[in-house]
Amino acid sequence: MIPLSHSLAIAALLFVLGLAVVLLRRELLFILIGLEVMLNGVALTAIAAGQYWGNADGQVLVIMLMTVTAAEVVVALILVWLAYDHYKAVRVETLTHLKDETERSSS
Amino acid sequence: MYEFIFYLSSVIAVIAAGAILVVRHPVHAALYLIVSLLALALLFFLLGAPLLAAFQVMLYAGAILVLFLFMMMVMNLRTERNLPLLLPANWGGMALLALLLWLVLLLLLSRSSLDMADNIMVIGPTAVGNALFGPYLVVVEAAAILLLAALVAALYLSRKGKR
Repeated sequence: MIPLSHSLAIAALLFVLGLAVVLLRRELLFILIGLEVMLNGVALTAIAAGQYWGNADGQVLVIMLMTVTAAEVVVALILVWLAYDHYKAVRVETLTHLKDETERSSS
Repeated sequence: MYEFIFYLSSVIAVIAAGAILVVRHPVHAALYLIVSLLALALLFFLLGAPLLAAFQVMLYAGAILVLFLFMMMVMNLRTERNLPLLLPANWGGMALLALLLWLVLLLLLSRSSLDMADNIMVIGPTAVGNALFGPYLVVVEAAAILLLAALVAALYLSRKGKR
């Protein structure tokens, strides 16, 4: 039987790797993929804890997490596409001008 | 033996997640993410959650990541100019990890599952369904409203005209 601490350590490692992808890779698609890795670390935490306590609540939480992820990915991918379409931006540094000139450049 | 399979698949998941940090093209990152998700599905199965292992393969790797790859190929965002979409030289890493994961799965399937069924507590689909549609019915309705909101947002953001 795997102890709970080992599963939690693996989940924490996955979460930190996803956070590093979000913070270090400054491209929009890589940020979304890093978010996926972080959510999977959370899912592993929930399932390991649910198996440890012996009830199905962790799995219910992970099913809810998958639904939230699907909704998030759909909207975020369209937003990435719109950012590329309007501003030719694939990196987040080019999306920092949330001021008057965005009004002028878009209209 | 059970511990060896568990730690080997967890090592595959962590290596595939770490490879996302260093690859250059987003398609490669998505493929490494698929390998990591499959290894995580094996971890879920070994922890005793077979329904979530199947959902991980079907929903995450089968639906969400295919949506990712489809949108990446349709959008064709050029992070670097004039780079071909898939470099043939970079297929090695994820193919090696996927092959290793397949060998782990073969190793798991070749063992008689009776010797480790006594020390894994399996929570099957029946218990999950009873919990999901019993005390957590409000969560299901909230998920329905969330999916409706995501559908409305997708239709609104991808409408034609007013560009």
